[in-house]
Amino acid sequence: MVRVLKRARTAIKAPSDELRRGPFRDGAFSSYLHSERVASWLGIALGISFVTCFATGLLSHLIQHPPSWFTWPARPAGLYRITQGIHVATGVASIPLLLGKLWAVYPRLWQWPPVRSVLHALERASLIPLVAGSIFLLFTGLANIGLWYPWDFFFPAGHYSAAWITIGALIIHVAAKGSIAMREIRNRPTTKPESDGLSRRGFLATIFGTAGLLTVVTVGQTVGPLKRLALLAPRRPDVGPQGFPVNQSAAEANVTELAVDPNYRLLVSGNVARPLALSLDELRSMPQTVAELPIACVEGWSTSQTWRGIRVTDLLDRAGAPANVRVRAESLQPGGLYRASVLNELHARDPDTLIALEVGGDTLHIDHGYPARLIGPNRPGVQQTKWVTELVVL
Amino acid sequence: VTPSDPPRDHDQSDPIPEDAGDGAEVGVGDEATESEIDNGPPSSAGPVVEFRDPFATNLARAFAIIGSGVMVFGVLGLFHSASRTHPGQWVRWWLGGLVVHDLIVAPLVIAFGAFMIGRARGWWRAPLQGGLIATGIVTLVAWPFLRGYGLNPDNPSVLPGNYAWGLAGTLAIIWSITAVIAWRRRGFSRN
Repeated sequence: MVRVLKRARTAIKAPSDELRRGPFRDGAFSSYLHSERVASWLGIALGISFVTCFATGLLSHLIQHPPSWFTWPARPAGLYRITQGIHVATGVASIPLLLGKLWAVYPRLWQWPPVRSVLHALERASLIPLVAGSIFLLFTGLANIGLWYPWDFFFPAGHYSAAWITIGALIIHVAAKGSIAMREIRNRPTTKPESDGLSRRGFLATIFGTAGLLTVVTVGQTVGPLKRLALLAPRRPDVGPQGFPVNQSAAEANVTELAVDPNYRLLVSGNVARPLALSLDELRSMPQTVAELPIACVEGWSTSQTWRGIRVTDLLDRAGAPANVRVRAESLQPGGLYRASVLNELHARDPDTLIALEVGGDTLHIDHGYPARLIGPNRPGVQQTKWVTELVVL
Repeated sequence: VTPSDPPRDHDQSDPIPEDAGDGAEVGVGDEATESEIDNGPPSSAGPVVEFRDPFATNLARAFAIIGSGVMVFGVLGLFHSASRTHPGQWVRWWLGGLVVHDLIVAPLVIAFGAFMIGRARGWWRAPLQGGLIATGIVTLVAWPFLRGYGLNPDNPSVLPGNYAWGLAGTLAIIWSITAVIAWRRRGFSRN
C-alpha cells in the first residue's frame, strides 16, 4: 500500500516526458511578455481595482440591505453617485487588466509537472475560483450595465456571492504570490526584450492605455462634462423621457393604467395618529419644496435634476408620526423586488426627501413615476421608488 | 519616452505605497523559489529554500486562512439565497467563463496574434501588436452594446447610442495613437 502511494507520488511529481505534449512542451509559448514581471504589475493593478470594486459594491449592498449596525447617512447628497460610479468604472477598467494578466500567466496553465506538492496543488486549485470568479464578475457586470440578462439567476444575488468567493480567492492568491510580485517590481529585469516586438513596458502601456480609454468612452454616463466622449456608454445622462434615463418603464412595471387612475390616493399609514389619504389635487395644494438632487442608478449612470414636491417630513408631521421613524414607501407596481423601499430615520426626516410631483418644471413623466415618486439625497436609484401610493410609518 | 520604448530602470516609477510591501511580502512553500517562466518551468528537484522571515510566513498563512474563510462565506451565501442565485445555473456560468477563456479564447488569441505579427518585422511590429491588443479588448467590451442585447422597446433610454459609430470612433483613437508611435519608431530606426 505504501509502495503504491509512493509510486503515485513519484508519478505525479515527475511524470513521464511522453505525456509532455502540445502546450505542455518546453518553449510552447515563445513570447517573453509571458513574464512574471508583467504579471506582477498587472496583478498589483488588478488587486487595487478589485478591492475598490469590492468595497464600493459591498457598500451598495449594505445600503440596500442594511443590517442593524449600519445606517447610511442622507448627506452628502451625491456620495452614492460617486461610490457607485467608481464601482462601475473600476469594473470596466478591470477588463483589460484581467485579460492582460491572464494572457501573461497563460503558459502557467500548462506548466510541467502539473503538480509538484500538496501545497502546490492547493495553490493551483485556488486559482479556479479566482479566475472563474473574476471572469464571472466582469462579464455579468458588463452585461448588467447594458441591461442584458442571458441567465435566470437574479443578477445582484449572483454577482454578490461571486464577489465574496473571488475576494477570498484573491486573498489566498496574495498569500501565495505576493512575495513574487514585490520581488519582481523591485528587481531589475533579467531578460532582454526581443529586438523589435512589443517591450514589457509597451505591453503594460497598451493594457493600461486600453483601460484608460475604456474609462474615457464610458464614464460620461455619470460624469456630466465627459458625456460627449461617452462613445460606448450604455446610457446617456441626457437621453430619456424629460431628458434623463429610466431603468424600469411604466409598461415594464405594469402601472400604465394604475398610475393615471383618477381615484389615486397617497396614503400615509402605520405608526401614525391620523392616517392620511390624499388625492393628487390635495397633494398639489400642499406647500411645495424644490430640491436639486442626483438620481444615481446602481448600473452606474447618474444625473442631477431639479425636483419639486412635498417634503416627506411634512407628511409625517401632518399624520402625527413620531419624530424618529423609518418609513416604507410602496409603489402602485403590483410585483417586483423593487416595488417598495425603506427610508431610514435620517432619510425620512431630511428636508430634501420629497414625494416629487414635478421634475425640471414639468409634471413627472409616467416613466419617471407619475403621479408621485420618492426622491431623496444619497440614495441608490432603485430606492427612489416610483408611482408611490403609500407611506407606511414603521 | 513613448510607451513602446524598451524598459529603462532609472525612470521606473513605483505607484505602490511603501507600506504595501509589508502586506504583500509573503510567500508559501516552494512557490517563492520559482524562476521566471520564460526560463522554462522550474525543476522539481530544485532546492527548497527555507524562509528566513517567520513573520512573512505567518502572514501568508494568516492570509490563506482568512481568504479560505471569506470564500466559504461566499459559498454559503450562494446556497443560502438559492432561490435567487440558482446555484446550478450559476456554477455553469461561473465555470463556463473559465473554460471558454482558457480553452477557446486564449488559444485563439495566441494563434491569431502569431498569425498577424508573425511576419511583421522592424518599426511597425510593436505598434501593430499594441493596436491589435487594444482593438480586441475594446471590441469585446463594446460587443453587447453593439449587438443591442439589452434593447427594450418599452424603454428607449437603454443603449441609446449608435455603438457601431462609437466603436469606430474608439478604434480610430487607438489606431491614430498607434500610427503616431509607429511613425516615431520609423524615424528612430532610420537614424
